[in-house]
Order: sequence, then C-alpha cells, then structure tokens
Amino acid sequence: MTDRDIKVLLKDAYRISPSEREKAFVRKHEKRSMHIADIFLLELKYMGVRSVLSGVMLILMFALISLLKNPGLVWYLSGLLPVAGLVLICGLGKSERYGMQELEAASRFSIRFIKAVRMFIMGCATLVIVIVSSVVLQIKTGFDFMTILGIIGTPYMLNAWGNIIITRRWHEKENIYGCIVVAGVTCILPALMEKAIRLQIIQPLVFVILLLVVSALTVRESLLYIREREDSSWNLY
Amino acid sequence: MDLKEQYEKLLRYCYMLTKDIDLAEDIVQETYLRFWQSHTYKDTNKELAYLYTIARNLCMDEFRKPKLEDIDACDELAGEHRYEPEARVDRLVIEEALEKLPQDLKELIVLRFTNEMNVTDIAKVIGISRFAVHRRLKEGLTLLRKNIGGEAND
Repeated sequence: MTDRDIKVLLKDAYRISPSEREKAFVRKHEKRSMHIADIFLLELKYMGVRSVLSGVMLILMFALISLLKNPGLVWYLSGLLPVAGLVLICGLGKSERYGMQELEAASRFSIRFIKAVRMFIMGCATLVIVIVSSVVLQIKTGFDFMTILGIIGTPYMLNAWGNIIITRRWHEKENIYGCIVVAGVTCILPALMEKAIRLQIIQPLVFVILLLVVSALTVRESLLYIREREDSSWNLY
Repeated sequence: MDLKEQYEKLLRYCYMLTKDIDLAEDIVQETYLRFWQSHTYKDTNKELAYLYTIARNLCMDEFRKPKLEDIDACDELAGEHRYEPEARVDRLVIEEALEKLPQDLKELIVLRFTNEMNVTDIAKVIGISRFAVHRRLKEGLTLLRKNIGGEAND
C-alpha cells in the first residue's frame, strides 16, 4: 500500500454519521450566509421614499417634455439631467448626513462595498433615463444617437464629476449645498452649448469627446471616493 | 468557516482522542460555545487553530477526570450505532493501524490527513514547530504503513 492509498483511506477514518443532536446544534447556530444579491435588495430598501419619488418625478418630466413637438427639447432634457445626478449624490451621502458611516463600516459588508453598490444602483437608474430619453429624442428630433448622447450626457457627467469631487474632499454634511451649486451651473450649461452649436463655434462631436473624457474622470473620482470612505469613516474626519 | 463541515471534523478528532462518541459530541458543542464567547479568535487566519486548541484542551481535561469504567463501557456501546454501517473493511484496518500508533503521531496524522488541516495550524494546535510537524508526519506515515503491512500479514 502506497502513501497515497493510505492518505485516501485516512480521509474516511473515524467517520461518524451525524446524530439528531448534531443536526439540531448546527441548525440552531448556523448563520445564514448572505448572498451578494441580498445587499442589493437591502440597499434598494435603504434608498428611501424621497429618492425614489425624485426619480419617478424626473422620469415623468422627461416623458412630458418628450411629448412636445419641439426640436429644442433635447436642450431641456439636457438641462434637467444634472438634477438626476443630484438625487444620486443625495442618496450616496445619506450615511454621512445622518452620521451612520461608523455603523455601516461595522456591518457585514465593508463601507466601500456598500458605497459601490449604492453608486451602481443609482447609476443604473440614471443610465436607463439617459438611454430611454436618447432613443426618444432620436425619434423626435432626428439628431443622431451619439450627438444626443453628447448633448444630454455631458452636463450630467460634469455634474456627477463635480459632485463626487465635492463629497470626496468636503467631509461635512453641508457639502450638499456645494453639490446644489454644481448642479445649478450644469443645468445652465445646455443653454450655452445650444448657442455654441447654433453659431457653429463648436461642433457636436466635441461634446461626445468631452463626454468620454469627463466619464473617465468621473470613474476615477468614484474609485477614489470608494477607496477613501473606509479610512475617513474610522478617523472620524 | 463552515460550521457543519468543521463540526464533523472536530467530532472525528475528539472521538479519536476520547473514544467516546457522546463525550466527543459534548466536547465539540462546548468547544463551539467557548469559541463564540471569546473574541480573540477574530485574529485573522487563526480561527481553526483556536477552535482545535479549545477542543484539545477540553479533551485533556476529560483525561484528567477520574474514570468510571462501567459508565465508559455503556457509553461506548451506546456510541457504536453511530458508526456508519457502510464502513468498509479497509477503513477498519486503517483505524486499527492508527490505534497502534503513539498518541502524538496518531493525533498529527488525523489532523493532517483526516481533517485536512494545514501544517501551520497543526503546529499552533500542538505547540510544536512546522518543521517538527513535517518530520513527525513522515515518521507517522512510515509506522502506519508498517502497521497496515503487519495487519495484512495477520
């Protein structure tokens, strides 16, 4: 008999069939393992009525504006989208505002992961709005898809980038006022963009390129934001 | 750490030490209760070693208690039905060969090959160096092979 055979046999040594006592003990003490999907569901519940209502109101406003037979509605939507970004930032900074970051840091999932999940959920919701409105606008205005994406996506992304920078560097609950200012500025931006395109100062393609650049910067800023959450929450700022 | 999987492994280890299934089960449950009560196990990567150390110490406490032979005999009889009925002959052969080993070597072999613990954890539980664990495991396997050969000849 080789060592390998012995090692295989040893795996079965002293094997005992489980008793009722063992089953009862395991049943009583075994912690239910948390599936990764559970945290998404939990976070969806944590979003709160106000965030959901703001999202619903935005979608309704988009739908109403889309009904207008006006080629300029692309600019209205572009000016509205930064408000969706503001809703996202409000939901994201909820734990800081209510002083819950330590509690979240002590939970089963790390605060980084919770923040990432929150960003993912809210980002997905906004992405749906952007894509749906881009398709609607393409049908209504006759612009090509990429131009529409550049026009409505650039102010939104600029707003998201600015807001994440503010929340990352300004660790007070008053940072929301800074975010509102950024959202306000980016809401006005489509008016300037419209003028620049109308007077042929800037080509629409520039906004597509700008969107790509700002998206990359937003992703970088988001990663920094998620990474820094853990340290700052334990240092109590 | 999966409770069910480790419970079974710990039970086998305690049974190997005590030779009494009910007592082994008592020790395993007591081990878990003590493990959960303590906070030191949160030290990363030392959970398993800590769990086995508690179990081992509880088994040692049992050895120190005065024995009541009659009760032990009853316990063993009561425990026999817990053995899996499909136990194969070669498994019984290896268990008999294991019983002929010195206690320390038997313990090491069961921890390493039956419960599949890593050498670092075994070293922590037993309180010897990793090098010593490797050396004794080799020695134990050689003796075990001899014992099995002897039994096969018998």
